[in-house]
Amino acid sequence: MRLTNVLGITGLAAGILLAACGGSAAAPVSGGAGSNPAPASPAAAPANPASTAAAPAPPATGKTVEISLHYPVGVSGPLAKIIEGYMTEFSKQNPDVKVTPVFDGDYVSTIAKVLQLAQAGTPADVAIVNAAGIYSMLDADAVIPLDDLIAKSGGDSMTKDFFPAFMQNSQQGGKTWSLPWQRSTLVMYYNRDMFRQAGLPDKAPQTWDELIQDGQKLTQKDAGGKVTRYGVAFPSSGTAYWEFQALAIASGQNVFDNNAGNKVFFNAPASVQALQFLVDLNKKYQVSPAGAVSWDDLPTQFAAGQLGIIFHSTGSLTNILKNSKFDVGVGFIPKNQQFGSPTGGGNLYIMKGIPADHQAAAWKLIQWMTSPERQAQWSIDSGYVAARQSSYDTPVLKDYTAKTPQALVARDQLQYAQNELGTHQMSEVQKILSDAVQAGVTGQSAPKDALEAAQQKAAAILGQYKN
Amino acid sequence: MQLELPATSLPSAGLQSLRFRVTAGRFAYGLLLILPSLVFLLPFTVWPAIKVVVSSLFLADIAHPQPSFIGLGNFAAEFGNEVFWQVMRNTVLFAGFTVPLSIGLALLLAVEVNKKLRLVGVFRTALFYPTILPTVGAAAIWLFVYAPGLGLADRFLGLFGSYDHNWLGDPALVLPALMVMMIWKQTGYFMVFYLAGLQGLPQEVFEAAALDGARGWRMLRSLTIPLLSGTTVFVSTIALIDSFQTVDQLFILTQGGPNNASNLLLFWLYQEGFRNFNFGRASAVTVIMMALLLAVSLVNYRQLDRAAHYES
Repeated sequence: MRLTNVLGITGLAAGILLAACGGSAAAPVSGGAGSNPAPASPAAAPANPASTAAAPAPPATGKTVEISLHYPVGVSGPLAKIIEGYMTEFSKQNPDVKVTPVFDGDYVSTIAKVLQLAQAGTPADVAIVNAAGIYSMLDADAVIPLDDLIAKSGGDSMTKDFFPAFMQNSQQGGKTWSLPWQRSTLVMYYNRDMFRQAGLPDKAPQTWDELIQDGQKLTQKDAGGKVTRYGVAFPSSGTAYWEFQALAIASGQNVFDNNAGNKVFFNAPASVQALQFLVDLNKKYQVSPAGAVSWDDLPTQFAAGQLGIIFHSTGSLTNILKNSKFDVGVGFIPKNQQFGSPTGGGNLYIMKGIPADHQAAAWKLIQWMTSPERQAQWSIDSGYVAARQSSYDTPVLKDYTAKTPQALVARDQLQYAQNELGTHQMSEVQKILSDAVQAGVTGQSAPKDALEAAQQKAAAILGQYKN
Repeated sequence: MQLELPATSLPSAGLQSLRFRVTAGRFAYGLLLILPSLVFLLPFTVWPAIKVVVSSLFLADIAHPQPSFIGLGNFAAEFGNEVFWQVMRNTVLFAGFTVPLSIGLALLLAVEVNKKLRLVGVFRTALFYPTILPTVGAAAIWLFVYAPGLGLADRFLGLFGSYDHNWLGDPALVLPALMVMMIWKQTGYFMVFYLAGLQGLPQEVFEAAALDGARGWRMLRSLTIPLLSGTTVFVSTIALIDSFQTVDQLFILTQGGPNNASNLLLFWLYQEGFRNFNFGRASAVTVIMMALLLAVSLVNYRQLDRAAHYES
């Protein structure tokens, strides 16, 4: 019994891993069989007679193509329900295509699932994966370039309408591999009522110095000198690399080479300054809580009036506005040398090895999802930034932003935005930077030492990649 | 397990063939008995275990979809990684504290709720309740307990004047914070085993001891604990395995952070496999974990054999 237990557990872990390794018979464990209508064997696909013989042309009339859409949910809110609703709407407008939406959890589990399916030879049709995940998708040879499809559907006039900051992640080696769907940036939220009470002007701090000054006025202490309310909170838990990027970009340099997947600048002066500033917010200026500040707690604490200024995703806007009983202001990331913020979120990819009629249907779906009108509605429903510039001219979004001008700040900040850290071995490299940031804010290492060590580790991993 | 007749019963060499036949017969009989579980164990446990040992010897990551043999390279990579050692240290600490504490607490609680008290049913239910909560749900509750300043933990400590702890963001506090949750979650489960054990104990022994003047602590130390040693070995095996196995709360509470201060072996395995997509190294970690668990349970198994004397 006890021995059984031991083996059962380790066997389970082993089984999971095997499924991941692909190629083995264990592959269907990942649940693709029921939810993924793609044919079981990619090797058979090219030779598959009737259905795909009509090659690249759209499918014959009267026949319904079933495709799968794998997607993550990265922020709070009932987004899965919204996406399912969209798919029903799409199928109504396009009776020849039936989309099966497959919810895969968060970004990490979605990219894992999508790559497993690809390696097992039963690829998904369309996948929403981190925009920064492009090198992972390319290294696994799992996606197709979209250039030919784009050329047939408006070419540059289509791609130029997307915000350039959102397209940066999509392009690699002169090709376009994905289109933006759910995109965000980091912004600053501040409690305007609290600003008024503290005698501060009703405007967001624009520089690091102003942030510190405002923070000091907002921070309250009791008679014993103990802090009862912090002025500023900058998240550093979990995937701290992303928020940290904002401070590095604001100091003059992103943490990696935007145009190459094998070069990071973790130990550059801008990065060191950024981490030193994060440490100083607590140690020197005492306007921020100690230790790694929890990403998940911040919106709640802010809405409860416990913090004056927080930094969080634009995707939290709807949630924060709904739960706060005070005037919420939204501002840019204050500058050290310049304004700046990392972009984040997910893009739409078409997977490699699916039949031609699936590919045509997938492209139809992507065009529909990235249309200005759909992006406008999606922005209102979710809080994400609409990925297309013309979305902001649609009546529905104009109406919304007239009532909620805070939603425009993230869009305006986009002109200063840079790429999310996306290299080869993305997750591993991201974790190295997150660990270094946390080593700094928890006082385990000096900022320079932590980042120097992180640079060495990342360089060792990235050294095997040519670009 | 080898099945052998005692050698003393077969003194002559001429009986060797008979001995063989008897042994073979008993072997077949034994095999027949374990066949039903073997049907499931072989394909779902033994076979994957063998496969994982094999794949731990291959370089297989996202850039190398075609695995290539690298011997013990994956193990070397893990042993050369300081994060791996930090994770091992955390795991040992985590098991080392949660297992004895939750077992000890479970025993004391079981003795208490075994008494004929009013509302004892309510107490038993309340103590068992954390066990039936899914770990993820429980972790979400503890997220609120540990919220800095706002949470139950800080509110409670606020009564004594100190109130702002970043429980999950301070490397010194995060592992103890996770241990407390684990103990809270597990104690009720182990208590039920002890309760069952207690109710199976012969009452005469206790009555006799009471006549001799034994009271509370003395009774517990000299009678209850030794008599329950079989249960203890069983519970501690389960507890040890659970402490290696429970990882769900890390997804909700800490992601292993800050800076790996709360990272545990199974979560690290997950990170290597499904975040870093390095299946070779993840397999190596799995093998290390299998070896650890096997060693632990073999030791416990021996003790169980010894402890069984008390209960029969």
